[in-house]
Amino acid sequence: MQKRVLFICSSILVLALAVSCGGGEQTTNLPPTGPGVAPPGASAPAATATVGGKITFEGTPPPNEKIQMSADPYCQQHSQNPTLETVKVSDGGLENVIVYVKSGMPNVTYPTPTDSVQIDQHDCHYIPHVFTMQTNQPLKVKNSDMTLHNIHAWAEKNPQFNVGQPVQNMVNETKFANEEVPLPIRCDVHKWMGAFVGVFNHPYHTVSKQGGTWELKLPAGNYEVVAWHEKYGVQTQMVEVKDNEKKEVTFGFKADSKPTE
Amino acid sequence: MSWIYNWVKDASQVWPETKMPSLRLSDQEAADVAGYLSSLRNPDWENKPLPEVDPAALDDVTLEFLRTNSTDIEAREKLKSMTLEQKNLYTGERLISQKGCFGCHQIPGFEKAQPIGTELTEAGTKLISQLDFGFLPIEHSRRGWYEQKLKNPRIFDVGRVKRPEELLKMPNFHFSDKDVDAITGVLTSLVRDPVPLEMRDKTQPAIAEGRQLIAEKNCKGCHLIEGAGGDIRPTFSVQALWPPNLATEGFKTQPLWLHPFLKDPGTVRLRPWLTARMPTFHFTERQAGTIERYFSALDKVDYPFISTDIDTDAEKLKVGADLFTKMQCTSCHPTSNVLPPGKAPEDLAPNLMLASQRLRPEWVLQWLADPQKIMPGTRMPTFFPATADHPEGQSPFPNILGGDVKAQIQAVRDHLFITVGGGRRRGLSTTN
Repeated sequence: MQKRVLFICSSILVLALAVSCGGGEQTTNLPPTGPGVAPPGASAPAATATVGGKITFEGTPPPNEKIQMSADPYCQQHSQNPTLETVKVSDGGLENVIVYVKSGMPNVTYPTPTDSVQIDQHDCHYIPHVFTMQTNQPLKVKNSDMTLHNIHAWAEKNPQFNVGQPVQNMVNETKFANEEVPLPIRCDVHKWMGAFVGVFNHPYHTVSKQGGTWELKLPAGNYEVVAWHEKYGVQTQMVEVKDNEKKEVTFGFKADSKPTE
Repeated sequence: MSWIYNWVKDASQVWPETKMPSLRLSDQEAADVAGYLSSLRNPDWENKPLPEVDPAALDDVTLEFLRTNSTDIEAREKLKSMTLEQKNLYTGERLISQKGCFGCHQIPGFEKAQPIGTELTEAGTKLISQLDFGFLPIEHSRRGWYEQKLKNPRIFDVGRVKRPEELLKMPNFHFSDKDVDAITGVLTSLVRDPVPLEMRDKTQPAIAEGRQLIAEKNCKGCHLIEGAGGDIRPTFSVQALWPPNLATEGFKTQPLWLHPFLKDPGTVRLRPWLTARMPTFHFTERQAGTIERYFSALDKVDYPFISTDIDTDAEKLKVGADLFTKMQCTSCHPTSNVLPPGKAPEDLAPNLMLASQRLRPEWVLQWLADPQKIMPGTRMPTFFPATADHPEGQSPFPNILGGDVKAQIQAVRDHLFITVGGGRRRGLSTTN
């Protein structure tokens, strides 16, 4: 009987996660919710608390480096005044910051989402530029361009993934078995192309969006929350939340701050 | 500064036996390096005065040497007639002679001097009665004596009454116990009747000999060899400028290409657009062969005679040409020595025109199938990644050759070797 309850619970968990990752757009991976909690050690308590806020940005954003694409006529033709996407600020908030729980989360094995995350190579840029996913979650790699890209994950804690995609609209699939933050992705044919993925073995992670906003659904607990940006490095804050509580956590980066490890 | 300039420009002109390779620097590059090196100074050291000569001590040493081939009275008279400079020159020469400095260093005037060490050719069969154990309470065996000698070479003099020039001379190299054990092993193996040549394993000596030469020339300072080395890497801003990883080098390169390349890397530039370059080590024929045998032995491949003829036909070559174009290999690999417009040197991979002369055909098949397997971290992607449904790899071109990965890889290789590189087809005497 207990086995059956477990099976039903985990099916619901998988479904919940699948919904959260679908549609190709990165949203917070919802932690398990549902009727009844599995026995201790099997799955995490329901994530009823909300932690979120804004990544504020102070000062004038440094201009992103211009890209010279003349080596590939396709890229040159399809990108107008291209630049890197190192610092993206909107409404006073910093986008593309990975926000995640580093410690304090329930010590359980989290189910692997079956829905895939997608990265696209479009007009010789990666879309999205920064994203997060869970260990062993499928990652679909698409090449929307009519030119050769190779997608090269410069992993240190996972085997490196490096596949050439010479055909327009082709899709390859991969996954990463180990946690790695950040895991840089580059194209060796077009050296300006770069993206970052955060791979976690739990679902408590997201990326700041328009206006630098972010939100994580968490079970009650005391958490170490980290914000990572490719240029400005990391910031850490502690936050304690109770069930159904909503708490705001603000991270702030300055235009001239030095990167921190 | 001019000495440093001459040295970095071509050290072998200054000292023919030097290990320092030639970097084939231009005059300006050599001047820049010399200028930089000359700026690295240590004023504290430079301002340190030379130690004062103690005349009494110098007289004692000089007299001791003079006495070895004359009477005490003659020696004292000779000493009186000598100037300070003469005494310095005389004792210096005698000390060099006694300590055997010329065994390692080249010193003018000692070119024909015999090394002072004992001959070790048959150290493993030397009679135990010929070994002087002194008054030491150690086991009277060859192994026991060699171990003691290596650990503390002059200890056998303890309790002996000797004149200074009669004392044991071997320096203490402060060998670790592991080193002592290894050297003793070698010494006791130096016997009069070695194992006959035909009964010896030729692979292990080839590897051992290669490793020794590679250590001597510090190849691992730049290259990754047997998974270790590449110390120079952090000094480059981008990975593309790293000296190559030499994993599978024996299986990868053709002996007929590797040999002249090792002898003079300046003549065959794989990536001539880079300023980084492999130095010329002035390898002898034997040394170049040692390195080639080493790489071949590591990879257990034939050496030096291999066939590079390709068994293919016109139809396969046509398919290969099509795949070569579709895979857009030339996005990274130029087929000339000219830097394509818009590209930076670090963007480019090796010139494919050289592939047919340089690479072993079987290696290219494995490389194209999964480059990461051969060189983890390489910028070369696979075009045939393994999937759950296709563990042997899946082609992006399912309609060519029925999507057969092996056949496609072979067709690309054939095109690369025959059409691009002008290699030979099996059974044909000329290129087709």
